[in-house]
Formats: sequence, C-alpha cells, structure tokens
Amino acid sequence: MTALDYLVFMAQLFGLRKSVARAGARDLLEFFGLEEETSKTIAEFSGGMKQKVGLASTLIHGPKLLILDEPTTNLDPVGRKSIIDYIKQLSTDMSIFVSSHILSEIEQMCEEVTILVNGKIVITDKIRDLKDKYSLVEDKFVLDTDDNDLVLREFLSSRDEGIKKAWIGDDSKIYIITEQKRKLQEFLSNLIREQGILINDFHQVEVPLQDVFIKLMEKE
Amino acid sequence: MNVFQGKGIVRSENFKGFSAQSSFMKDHFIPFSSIFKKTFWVDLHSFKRLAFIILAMNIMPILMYIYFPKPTPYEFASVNDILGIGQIIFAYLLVCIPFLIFSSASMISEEISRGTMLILVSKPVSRKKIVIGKFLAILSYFLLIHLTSLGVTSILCLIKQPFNDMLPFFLSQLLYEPILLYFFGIITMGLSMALKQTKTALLIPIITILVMFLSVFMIKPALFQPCIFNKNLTYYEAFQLYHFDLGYHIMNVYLGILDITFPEISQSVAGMLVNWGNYKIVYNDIFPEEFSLVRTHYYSPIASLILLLCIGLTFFIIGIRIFKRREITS
Repeated sequence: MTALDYLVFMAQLFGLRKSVARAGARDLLEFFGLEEETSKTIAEFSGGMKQKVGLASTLIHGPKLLILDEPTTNLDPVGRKSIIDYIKQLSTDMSIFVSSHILSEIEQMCEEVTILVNGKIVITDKIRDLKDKYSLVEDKFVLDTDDNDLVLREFLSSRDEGIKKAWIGDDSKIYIITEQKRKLQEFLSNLIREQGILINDFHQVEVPLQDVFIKLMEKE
Repeated sequence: MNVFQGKGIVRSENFKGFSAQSSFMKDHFIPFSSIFKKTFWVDLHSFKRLAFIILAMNIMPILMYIYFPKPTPYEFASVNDILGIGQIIFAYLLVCIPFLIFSSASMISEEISRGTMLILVSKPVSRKKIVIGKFLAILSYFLLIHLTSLGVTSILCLIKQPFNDMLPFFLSQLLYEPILLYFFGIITMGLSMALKQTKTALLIPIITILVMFLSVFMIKPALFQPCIFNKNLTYYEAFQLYHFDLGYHIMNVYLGILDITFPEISQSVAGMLVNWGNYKIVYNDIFPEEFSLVRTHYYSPIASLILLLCIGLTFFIIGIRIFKRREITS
C-alpha cells in the first residue's frame, strides 16, 4: 500500500469522501516532504518516513487535539530531529499531548509537562518554571577564554568571590560552580578589564528535566 | 479541519463539501466501503493468487479435456454426471474453501497480533462494521473467483463437447457455491474473532472438512450396514446420526438445488451421494442382487439450508460478541 493510499484509507474511515481525502492526503505528504515518494509502498520506507506517515495519518481529519505516545521510538537521530521539528510546528496550531520517557526530547517539544511517578500525577507545570523551582542551589557555568589556565588560576586564588569549585573540563573549557551568580559576573568583568582577557563563550548550564524528575522521584 | 485551514497543511478548498455530506454517508457508508475496498484489493487480491486458485479449481475439467475421448460415450453425455459432484468436492471443498478459510482465519486474529487492528479500532468505526466489511470483502472476492472459475470450466466443457445440460449445470454450480462460501467463511471469521491464535482459527474448519471427507470414505460405509437391533434400519438411521452429519446437510442443500435445475437426478449422481447419506441402497426382496437407490429425505433441503445458515450465524454472532469485548493493544 502506498502512503497516499494509506492516508486516503485513513481519511475515509473518518467519513471523508475520496476526492476530499485524496487532496488532503497529498497536502499532508507535501507538508512532511514525502510528495516524491507517492509511488513507493510503505514497506519500502525507512523508520523515519514511516513515522511521518503515521503522524500524517493522525492529522488527516483535522483534529484539535493530538495524543502521541513515544513518537520518536526506534528512530535514528536524524529521524528524531525531523519528527520533533514537525511536532513543534504543529503545536503552534493545535494542542499536542506527548507521552515519553525521553525527557530531553520532551524539553525540546513541550511547554508544559506533567510528571507521573508510580502512575500518580506528581506535578503539572511549565518546564521553565519547573526548572527554576527544582534547580540546584548552586549554578553551574561554562567559560571559554583566550587564556583558560590564567583565568582558572585567578578563580582558584579568589575563593571569597563566591566561587565554590572551578576546573578545566575535557573540552578545555572552564567549569565553575558558584552560589553567587552576581559576584561571578562582577569578578569576570574585573578580569576582562585588568588582564585584557578575551571571552569566547560564557553560559549557564541548564538543569536537565531529567534531574528535576529524579529529584521528584526522590521526594516521592 | 479548522486546524489545517489555519495552518495551511491541508488547503481549505480540499475540505469543501465535507460538511455538506449526509451523516449516513459520513458515519456509515464511507467508512464501511473503505474497509471493504481495502480488504478486497489490498489484503486479498493478487493476480498470482487469483490465477493459481482458478487453475487449481479447474484441474478436473482440464484432465477431462485431455483424457476423455471426443465425443464422450453416451452415458457421459451429461456434464453434470461427469463433473457435478466431483467439481463440488474437488474444486470447491478441497481447493477454494481451504483458501477461503486461510484468508478468513488470518483476517482478524492476525491483524490483532500485528497491531494493525489497533489503528482500525481507534477510528470512529464500530468493530461490528469492521468485521462485517471484512467478511463481505472475503465473500465477494471468493465469489469472483468462483464465477471466473465456473466460466473457465464451462468454456472447457463447451470446447470438449456440446453437452446438452450446460445451462442447468452452470446454474446449479452458480447457486450452490455461495452457500458453501458463506458457511465456511462465516464460521472461520467467527473463530478468527473469538480465538487469539490464527493457527487455531485455521485448524478447526480445516479439520472439520478433513473429518467430513474421511468419514465419508472410512466411517460412514460401516454406519450404513444393517443395525443389529433393527435389520430394516442402518446404524446411521437407528442412531439418527444425520442430525449431526455436516456432510449430509451440505449435500442435501446441493440436492435441493439439483431438484430445481435437474428435476430428474441421474443414477450416477445418486450413486455418488450414497456415502454422504443422501441416498441409500435398497435391495430387491425377490432378486437380492438387484437394488435401487432411494433418496433418504431425513431433512428437507430447505431445513438443511436453514440449519447451515443458523450454524454460521451463531459462530459469527458469538465471535462478534467476544471481539467487541476484547482488549486490543499494540
């Protein structure tokens, strides 16, 4: 069965006339970039393409709510990214409920999250708020300058600036753990001013949703 | 629809007319016919399968075409005498029906185990509609095979010799086969819905056919001997085994059709039906070596037909009830 025939069949199960179903199916194949594959049977498709057809079949009758269970299972990284991108695009126009164990993907796709532990709803909140609420007391930063050894020495010699721990990681960047974000920023601007240090990268490491989940698990 | 119209994934003009559709078309006819069409063209139909079954069903007429002298001896001038029951037993019961059973048995249970049934039942189509749509598709597909095969058989017979009873032969076969297809198809479909494994749903009707045939040649001849308690009756009659003999009822329905198409059933046809229980040998009291074949009439053909229809329907209804309650997961 070709993807077009499959989508037409799915549409007809919802009561759409063949001509309407065919036109809708063609539009969806175009949206998912499968318009060139209409002569191929689904059996010839890759896992990612099959997943796209599956997603298209759920959209054929124009639902207002979409419930997806593990939408990226068994897909390679390219396929995963593609499906996540499509879900993000679709979410601007409809409510999408995604159930998944892969929390890093949930972070990329969703705005709000409901966490279940042992089958019970533990929390429902926006991901951003949840991270703020359950993030660690200390903040972790990554810094990359033109002279990381010098900067690290400066950090280690000034413990009173609120820097709890600093080290150079495998990627040759400096990792800093501090309880006082403000003091770190001030210390860094002094370094730039006094030592003429050039900064290539400076960002705060985000708390992954997984850590929040583990914290909630421990709490439960 | 509004989602697509807003987003532009599916252009709004494509959905014009959807709201104008009557609810009967939208809720019943279109989903039902789509299941029917998908089962017929995608799940069942393949040119190879069609050609193979038709060829297998026509082995007897082909052999007859090759080996019988032309013109055939006078006593075989009737195509019904040469092919009638032989065609039913070989082409239908041994070739066409097993293929039908194989297709019906896997139709529901296989789809459940593959996970494709979950897709169907998650759509706004009732399970009853899914099953009836699939069953009607199977029935129609095998009716198509039956008609094509019968056409080929008739052409072969016409080429061979201008038989004088081609039309009644064609008519009797045409009327009888749908009954067989219905009976075995609906029972297997019922089993396919009720049982979890395709294998079991497949084995039960196949074993039934085998037992039916084996009993005709191995068990029934013994049952047609005079009973020790009453010499006037056979064991078959004394214990009223015809009530439970599926083979008897199947052939009794065929005899009912022959009553219409061939008002005078020939002795050669009657002779073939002795072992099925539809005819019995009655010996002459004065000349014991002389005998005649007498129709048994345990049941009227209409009663046998109703019985077969009811047995099939019972299996189907039980199957649907179990299938409706069954939890279908991926």
